[in-house]
Amino acid sequence: MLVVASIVVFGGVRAIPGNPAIALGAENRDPAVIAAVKAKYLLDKPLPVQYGHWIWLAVQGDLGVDQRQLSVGHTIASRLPISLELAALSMIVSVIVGIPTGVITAVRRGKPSDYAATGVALIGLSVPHFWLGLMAIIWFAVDLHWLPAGGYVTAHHPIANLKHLLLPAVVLGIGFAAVLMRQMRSSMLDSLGTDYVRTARAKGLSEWSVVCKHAFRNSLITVTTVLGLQLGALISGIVTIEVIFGIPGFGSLTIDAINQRDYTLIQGVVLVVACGYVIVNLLVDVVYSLLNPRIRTI
Amino acid sequence: MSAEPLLEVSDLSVRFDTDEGPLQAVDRVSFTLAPREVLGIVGGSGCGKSVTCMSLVRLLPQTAAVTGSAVFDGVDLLALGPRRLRRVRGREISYIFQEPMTSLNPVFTVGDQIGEVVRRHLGLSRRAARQRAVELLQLVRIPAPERRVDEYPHQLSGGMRQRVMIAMALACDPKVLIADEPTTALDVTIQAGILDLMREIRERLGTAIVLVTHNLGVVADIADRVIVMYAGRKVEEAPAEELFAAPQHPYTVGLLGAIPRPGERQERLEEIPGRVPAAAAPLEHCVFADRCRFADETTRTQVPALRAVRRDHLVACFHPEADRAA
Amino acid sequence: MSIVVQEIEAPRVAGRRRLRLLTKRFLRRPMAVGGLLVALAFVIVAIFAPLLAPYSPGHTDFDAVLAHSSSKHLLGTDDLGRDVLSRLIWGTRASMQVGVFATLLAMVVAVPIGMIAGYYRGWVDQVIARLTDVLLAFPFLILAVGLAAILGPSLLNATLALGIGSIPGFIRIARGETLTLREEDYVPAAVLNGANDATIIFRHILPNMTNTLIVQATLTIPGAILGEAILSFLGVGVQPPTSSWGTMLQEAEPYLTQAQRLSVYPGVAIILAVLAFNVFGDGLRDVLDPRTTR
Repeated sequence: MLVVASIVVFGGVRAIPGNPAIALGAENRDPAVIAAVKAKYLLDKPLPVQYGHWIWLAVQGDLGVDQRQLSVGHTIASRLPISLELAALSMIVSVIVGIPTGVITAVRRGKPSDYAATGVALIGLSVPHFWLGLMAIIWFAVDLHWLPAGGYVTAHHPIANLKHLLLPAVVLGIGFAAVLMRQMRSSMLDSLGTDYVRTARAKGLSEWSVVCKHAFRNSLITVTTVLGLQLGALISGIVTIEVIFGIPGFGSLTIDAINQRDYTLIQGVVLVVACGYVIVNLLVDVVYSLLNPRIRTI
Repeated sequence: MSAEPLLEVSDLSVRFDTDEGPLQAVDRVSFTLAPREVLGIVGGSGCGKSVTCMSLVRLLPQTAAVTGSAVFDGVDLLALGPRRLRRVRGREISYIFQEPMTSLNPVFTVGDQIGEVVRRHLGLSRRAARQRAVELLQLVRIPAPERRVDEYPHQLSGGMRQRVMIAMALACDPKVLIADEPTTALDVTIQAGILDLMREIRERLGTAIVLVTHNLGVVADIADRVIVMYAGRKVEEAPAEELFAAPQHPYTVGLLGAIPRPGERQERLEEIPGRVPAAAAPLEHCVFADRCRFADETTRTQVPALRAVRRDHLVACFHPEADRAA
Repeated sequence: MSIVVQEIEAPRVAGRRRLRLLTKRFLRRPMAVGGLLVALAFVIVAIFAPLLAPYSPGHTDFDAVLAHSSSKHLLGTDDLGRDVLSRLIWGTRASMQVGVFATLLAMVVAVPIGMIAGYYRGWVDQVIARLTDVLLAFPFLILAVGLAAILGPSLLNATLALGIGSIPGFIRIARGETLTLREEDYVPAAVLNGANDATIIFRHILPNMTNTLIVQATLTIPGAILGEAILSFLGVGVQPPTSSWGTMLQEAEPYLTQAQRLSVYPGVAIILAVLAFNVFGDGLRDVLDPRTTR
């Protein structure tokens, strides 16, 4: 999986027009420098050799240097935690909002509160989060002065750090809450219609155990799988939100790298995304098997 | 039945509100259940027998409108508040469903699911509940209960799962056990085992059983009294032996003709021509009229009332066998 | 329950009657009908943009820069004195174009692939299914931004990028449907009649999955509309001075404090359009695909 991804990344980046050696040598047009760069990255060798060399270095933790001769590895290492923090915060928001509303609307299906909540969720799905971000800035930062409009403060100042990330995390989290809620609602409705829920009712269990134990545990299984599929959307969301709020994270780094055609940086960034993808899927598999005994015992 | 009835159902009707309009599933059904009695309810698929039973413990979806009364232990189950209803469910009246493969929750162990009932109703501790679960598994003759109690449903066969369902239903020594086609989804060889178990339960625990089935053989095996349902109505009721010896309703006669008899070579099992009617409202004529050999003007314009052709033998027919014989 | 020995339903009930039945079922959902009407309105606006817009989208009125709404400019003007309403109307055209064409592109590429995978199964299917799973979770934005970087930013390339991004979803649907449909009785029947694989795929399987495809398409269009807005906003989609909802938002961002309405109008347009298609698609799915109805 990772191998395929890295080949695609490598090939894709090489497809970008322009001479990578010149790009890497930055403004320095000195033929000697260009030759040195070429030698280091084996740019005069055929592509498979270049690829092998790149992977070999990447495995050792060396992702090369970017246009400004800064270590790509270091740049990514300094930017990634910011985005991870944002991702974690927004996931927390979306789970806190999305899961309970999904359960409640399923239980109260067909009642006015269900219609209201599913309606809001549908709107939530239809609102571009970057626009929601803009509106949030207007509201909470410009008009009300409650929270800063953007930027980032390191975790050394935890309160300032949270203040800066709160708005972006909520904006991003709300969008995912809508996805999560809809998914949760539909799998809860599935579970509530099953024979084993009928059995649980026939046993005289309280509605609370019927819903929150029997139906909920089974619904979580499907929701987990769907959550794994949302990773791409999450990364896309982080990119736009970071741009809007001026957060110097991995997302804005990605956009900068692409806009500046910084080959080594792009390669590094996408490789990290691919690794992240693999890790998340692994996690989803682990959670899935924890929730689902049918997988566990096989 | 002379004893004071345990359960007395009168004029039970169920109507479903479907996308295609209302649907009358059960039409004014009445019956009683005595302590320790095994009552069989038979009929073809869609005759309303399962709906009747599920409405007693109110397990039908909200689209179902239930009227009538079902008095159990002095209270009308159909008028009970949700809290008191839950105290009856699983404790006084237990239910076994047709589909053992899907009726157990796949993500909890068998022990959890059995233990849950006694923890809920008898307030047992987690530990005591597990102990009780092991005992119950033993009672329903599951080998190696100490090991099985910690297994998940998917690790058990269909027959075993149905035994688990029965164990769960017996957990609080209920007064009534409703078994809704308990053997239909199982292999023939396993069916016999489950039926033996049910008979044993009645002998040992004295539980009254309502056995719903479309299989007359099963009924003949263990029921004391039988109700025959057709298109939402009770068409005949009699003690089991009597019903098999002298069926009165043409539908019952037809049903009996459809049972294969061992040792008797038949070219083809008899079948009843035509279809079961689906009605939006109670029909104003005999429900079997369209398929009945003896149908006439009366049959097509009036509803036959239940009448006793013999002691304890009721039939809703204008032309029961007894009349024709006479 | 009384009833109902159902006839085994033939795969396609007589055309006209079925259509009437479906229409009736659809009309019973006021939300979905509303969604359809609004979506249609957007399409009409897109088609007739030149006739409907009071000004040309590039027309600048330097007497009225950042003007509030007036009888002359119903929704006011932007920082260059361009009429906001006219730009919104022309922006509708760009957004609808991207939405519809990206979806069509994805469908044309993905459906044959998905059907081949589902029909032949075996290792081809394994490879395609794995790849789809991988692509499904890949951030389309990075793909689109990357494509824009390679090919240069433009309306066409944004459409391409969004179309490519929507392919995996369609492959998955087409594959799943084919897997089920090839098990239907009419497939072996067709084989007995001497039909070859192509005939079976295109004459027997494809027509029976159109419902599902239509639903997926209706739900892909809003995704592409959203995508266009994001790409253009980030400067890698439609390029100014061409008007699209995304570029309008991008151009409005510097004036967030002075002229919030410039950010509000395009945003509302996006939400309305996306919402309309989503609601319509959901309703359509309920009507056409009884399996998912609830």
